[in-house]
Amino acid sequence: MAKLLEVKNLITQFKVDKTKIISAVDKVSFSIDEGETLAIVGESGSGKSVTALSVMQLVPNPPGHIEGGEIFFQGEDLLKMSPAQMREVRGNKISMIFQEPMTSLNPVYTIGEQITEAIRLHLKLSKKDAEARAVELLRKVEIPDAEKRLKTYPHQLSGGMRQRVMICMALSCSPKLLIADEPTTALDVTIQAQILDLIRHLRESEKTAVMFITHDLGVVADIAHRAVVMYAGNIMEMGSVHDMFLNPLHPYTRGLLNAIPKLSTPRGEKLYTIRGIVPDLSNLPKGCVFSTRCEECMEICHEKRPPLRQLEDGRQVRCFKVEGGKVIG
Amino acid sequence: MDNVKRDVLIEARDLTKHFISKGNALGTKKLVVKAVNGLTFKIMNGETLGLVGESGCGKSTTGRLLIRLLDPTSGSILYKGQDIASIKEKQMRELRSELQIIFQDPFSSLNPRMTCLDIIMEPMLIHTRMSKAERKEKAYDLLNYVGLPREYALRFPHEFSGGQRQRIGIARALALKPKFIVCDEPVSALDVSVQSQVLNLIQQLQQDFGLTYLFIAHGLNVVKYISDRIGVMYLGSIVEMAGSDEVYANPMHPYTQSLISAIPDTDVENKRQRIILKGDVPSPSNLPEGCPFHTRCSQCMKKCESEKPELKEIAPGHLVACHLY
Repeated sequence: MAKLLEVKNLITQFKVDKTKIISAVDKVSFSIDEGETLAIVGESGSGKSVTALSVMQLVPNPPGHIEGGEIFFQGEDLLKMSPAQMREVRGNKISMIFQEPMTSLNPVYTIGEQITEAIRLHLKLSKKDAEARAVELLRKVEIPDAEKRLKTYPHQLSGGMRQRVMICMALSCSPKLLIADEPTTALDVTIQAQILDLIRHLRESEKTAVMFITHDLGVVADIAHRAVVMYAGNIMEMGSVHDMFLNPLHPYTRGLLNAIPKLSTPRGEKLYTIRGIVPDLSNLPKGCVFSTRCEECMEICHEKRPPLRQLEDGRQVRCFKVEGGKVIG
Repeated sequence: MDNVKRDVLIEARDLTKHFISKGNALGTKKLVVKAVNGLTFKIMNGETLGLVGESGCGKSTTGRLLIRLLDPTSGSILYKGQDIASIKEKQMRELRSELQIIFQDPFSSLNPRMTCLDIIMEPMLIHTRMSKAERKEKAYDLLNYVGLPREYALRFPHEFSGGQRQRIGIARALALKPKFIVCDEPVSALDVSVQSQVLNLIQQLQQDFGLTYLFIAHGLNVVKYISDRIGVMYLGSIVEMAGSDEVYANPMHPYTQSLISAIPDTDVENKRQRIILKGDVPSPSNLPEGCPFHTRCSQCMKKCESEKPELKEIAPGHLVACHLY
């Protein structure tokens, strides 16, 4: 399949004070095929959201800026585009939904006004046609009484409904790529199941590729084809969800999977813990970024940062202990 | 643990809480939010009862009612046989040291202007006659117990990570040697790698101090892992209650069935069939007639629209409120 998005050596930095600059995303490379769902997983501060914002070029500047790298979308480098060209892409070919549907909708405009705004801007439709399109989209995201809903304000809707409206807006111009930044984190499990089902359904009918950012590995197993595991701005492991979850190679991936109580974990059994806490980005270990918390840390891990190596089955792992698809020693 | 006959520590009988918002000059109407509607359950000594449900189902309100952080509208709460629902605040204050709570948000539940040490010492200052030196010594012991280094004692809350703050909250709850702790979503705000550290600590405490927990959460895998029994709440009512393995292995209520099928699990080999519910939870200020779940239930019958089902024991220790059984 053709590559839709290809991110190469992306570096996004933030200026914390006059002298200190941190790299929230440090030389990150990955790609998304057409129609594919790629999950980016990580804990808070791992750089997963900044990666998404970098693709959209929505990183708040200052303090943040994209220091280096290339982001190819349909063969064109987004980083070389003028702001006007980028506006043509954003909300049109690539669109984004956010975690908090309340704060990302404008409280003083009706749902209808907000959905038709993007449609009229990008598709150059008349007001009437745009409204008709909006109703059609609201139906597609399974919102009942679509015509009536156009006249309601965000506060009149529940959290799940608001997220549906956000998805509806994101889909309004039939994007090639949908970036979903923790779209279900603020929702209850039964509503989360509805939204995941909707996204799954839409990506099949619209052939949209999805970049799904989450910290919930259960959601990853549910929705994604491939996943990228990030830690302190670095990719630690990347590969197909099925292979990675069955046989996690990086100690961090393994730790994350073991730390969650599964439905089959017996009561009272001690849970696996990853010792310590996520390191401060301005004070990263010299060697492997995970070395301070890794149980299998060797001498070399403190000295040198391991490269992200490609294995035979297409998996990539950043660990000295992994060779030829197996954990050694 | 399971076969030992234990005493009841705390019991709710027909517990109800309605919040009333009065209308104002702008013409908003008077609203009665029926947060908790006639709950009856017991928690045994040394047991962990898990409460699950979606936001707005009344689980946090229930937790706060049990330790009288909120006054119930009606019903009674028996703590060691004594009804604490109606006793005076002065009498209640004596019991407060035995009934504690760990909050969800470790950011807003710690006073930003107090040091970690002061936060842990404050309950002892209010409730005991310990000298300052004794309080300090006890606070350092607690810090050590929850796994925070001694040097951190004089730091302020903003200097700690979420997991560390939650440890401070736990140390504060332990300061008065409580018997019963309400854990109100204690790990929901934490990262996965830190979540398991705090869960292990909470379990360790129970073993070391013989604590009884009401564990409130919406993460169902966490609740199953930590609880002896589980109550499933929907719109202020308990719809099902049973031993935690039983609830997951054999859910009876249609709501429990869909809730369990919706849990995102990392088991990629074993994909389960999801039951996806239609629509949203109705507003607790406008409860549906009959069974509270009938508006979303796929197996709704005529009877469900008019008659609220009672919570009945349909197998030993397994209670369900549904007309199907």
